[in-house]
Amino acid sequence: MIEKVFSIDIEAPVARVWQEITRTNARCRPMFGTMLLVKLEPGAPLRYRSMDGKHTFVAGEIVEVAAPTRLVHTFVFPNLPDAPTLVAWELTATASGTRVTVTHSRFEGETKTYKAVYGSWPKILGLFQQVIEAGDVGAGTKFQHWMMGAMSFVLPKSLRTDVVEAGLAKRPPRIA
Amino acid sequence: MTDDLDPVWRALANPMRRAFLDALRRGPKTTGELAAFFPGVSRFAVMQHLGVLEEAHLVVPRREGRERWNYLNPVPIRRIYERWVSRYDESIVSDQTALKAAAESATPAPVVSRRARKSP
Repeated sequence: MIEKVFSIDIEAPVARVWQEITRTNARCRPMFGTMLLVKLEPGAPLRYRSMDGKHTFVAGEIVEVAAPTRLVHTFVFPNLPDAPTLVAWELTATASGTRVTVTHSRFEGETKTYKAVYGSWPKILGLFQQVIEAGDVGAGTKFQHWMMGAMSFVLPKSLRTDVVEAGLAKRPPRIA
Repeated sequence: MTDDLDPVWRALANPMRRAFLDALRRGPKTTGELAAFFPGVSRFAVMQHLGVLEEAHLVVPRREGRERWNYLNPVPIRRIYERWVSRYDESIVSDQTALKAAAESATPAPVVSRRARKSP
């Protein structure tokens, strides 16, 4: 099993960083402009969906919550056959703000899920830093998100929210 | 915005520390495992190098019992890339675009690099 760590220092209080990471029903620029849908309690489902709700890109289940310092959830790409993986967010106070550490584990080798997330986490954390410290992301990132929205008709059927939910009902994103 | 990459550059300036990062790329290692990987280096030197890498946030340590596991953190490398590679790449591309436009137009426009344009 592969386990990877990604860590960044953000110049803001822990509570502020937590708020940004767990913000629901709003566009999350760092997460490819998707929105997070979740209730922060163990066993609750977690989804990253397109702004119109029609597509679901990431699904999972909350494993552990200790606001504002620790959030653990399972993680699957609904269109990939890989087994559920585990994401742990840890926020620790530092002299200048918050150290955010993401531990993504339980990859069964260098799977497609592994390959997709390994390059993405540094980018995601960098964008969280930008959003929190500078207030917003750059125009280039926004343009990318706009394009992704405009091009959503090219997305495979397997990412359609109804298809995803039907699949998850049969195979919950849970780690035994 | 935090843009203090000095500790990262300092950490990367040493070939032994770069070799450590390559070794950790395959997965986390205990300090003992890392030391065994580099038989010519004293345990003390290994710990010193790890200290510099941790300072630069390139290595994240995790304690498990008496063992210290060292994880590679690729995030600072990404920041170096964004600050020093992608930005300069972009200027090369735009210079080439200007060159192409100048070459193709009937009345060639002067080719001025982005950096030259910016400086007073």
